Amino acid sequence: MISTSGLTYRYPGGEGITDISIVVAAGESCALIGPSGCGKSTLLHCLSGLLAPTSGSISINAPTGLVQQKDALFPWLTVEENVQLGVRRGVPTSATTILDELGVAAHRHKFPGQLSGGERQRVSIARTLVTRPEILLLDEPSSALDAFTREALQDLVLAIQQEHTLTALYVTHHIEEALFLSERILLMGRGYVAGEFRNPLFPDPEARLQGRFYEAAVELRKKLNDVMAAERYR
Amino acid sequence: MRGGVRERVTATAGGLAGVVAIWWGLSLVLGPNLIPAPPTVAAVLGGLLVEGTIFRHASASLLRLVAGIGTAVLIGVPVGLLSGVSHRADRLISPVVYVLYPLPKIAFLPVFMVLFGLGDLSKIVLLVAVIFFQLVLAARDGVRDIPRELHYAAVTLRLNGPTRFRRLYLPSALPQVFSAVRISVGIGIAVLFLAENYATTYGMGYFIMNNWVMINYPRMFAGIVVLGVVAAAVLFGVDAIERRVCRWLHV
Repeated sequence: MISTSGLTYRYPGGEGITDISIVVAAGESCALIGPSGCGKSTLLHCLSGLLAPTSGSISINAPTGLVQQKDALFPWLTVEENVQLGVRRGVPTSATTILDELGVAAHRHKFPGQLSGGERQRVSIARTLVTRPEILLLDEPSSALDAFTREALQDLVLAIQQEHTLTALYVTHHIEEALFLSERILLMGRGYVAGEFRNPLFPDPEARLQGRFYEAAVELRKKLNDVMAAERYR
Repeated sequence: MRGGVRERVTATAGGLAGVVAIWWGLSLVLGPNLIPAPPTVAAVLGGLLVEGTIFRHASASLLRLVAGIGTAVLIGVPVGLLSGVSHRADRLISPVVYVLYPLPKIAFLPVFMVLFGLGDLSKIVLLVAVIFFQLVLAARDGVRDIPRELHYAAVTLRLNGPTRFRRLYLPSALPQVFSAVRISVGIGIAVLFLAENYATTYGMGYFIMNNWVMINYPRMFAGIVVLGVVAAAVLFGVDAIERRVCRWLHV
């Protein structure tokens, strides 16, 4: 479970996030959506321990893993060596098993520079999963990918989240990605959580083939527009 | 022979042919008294190789050069990595490097000779003093250029200090370090050329300068050719090591 209370982080320039109190239950899949610069990644960085909050508190009761927007693979290590970095002593997970699960085992002796964007992001997810996290934090993992590769990655992430019953928090600015991957979507204004959206369709790997999915997308888009309109008059 | 190797050999031969062509052209334009023609120098060089003392000169220079660069790498890279990783260390190291780097270290040769003797050691110390600083800067900047997301990955993967050093800091600095080493070969030979004119009778610097003073230009040019070959051998050696160590750059 993730819970924050009055979480605030200020960058030296004054921007940041203010008084964020959210709860993500164990096994829940949740998305944070909002325009660029609204503080989504800042919140995720606070949760993953990369930034120390200016004030407020964070409570996380299980091991977390972060998948970053850029794949963050070490270019000088092979795929297998990259994933090995995440292997913990006493945690019974082999890099090969995870690479197999993510469909990139054939590339294990290659360097990241020899892979496509989608393959690199799969390796990056493998490196996070090998640490055996119970909470998965994903910072726009598919934003650098083309539409088809992005959907394939979303299918994979959904399958993994469901199979391992992971608690997941996705940061995204794709409305359809948020709907496909999460049961609850938190809408962010500039630095604060402005509202939330319950997704009745989750989890459905075939959701993209249903009209209701796009109706939900329109509804979510309207809510987001309201948040952004309110923002202009603040 | 593999395709890649054959290609490299062909390219090298082409480059050498170009150098010889320019040299020959200059000899024709400026006259053989000032610039001896390649065949004249080749004949002199053949004689030197048969006589054999040129090998002693060349190996003396090669040894000093490799020892100097090797020592500078062993000291300079760790100092540079420390400077790149730790802000506190950098506040101490960078100002010292910036003050000492531009000084003409060759002027300290007499001091080195008093401290380290007239033999090889003082010349190697001089080389280290010249090359060390650019290796520090190369390693430091290599670490500074590590993208932020890789630092984040190191934190979230909970990599310990030694693993971070081995898997993140050191490899990130290697490409810049190798570039600096290649530049150091040229600078090192220039420094050695001067240093080998003091208190020594062996070394390519001594050989070339001695023939210069005796106005024996064909022998002087033969010495320059040998020095060029020694330098090229070192550079090819550095490239070979880089291909092995920085495999990810060559796939």
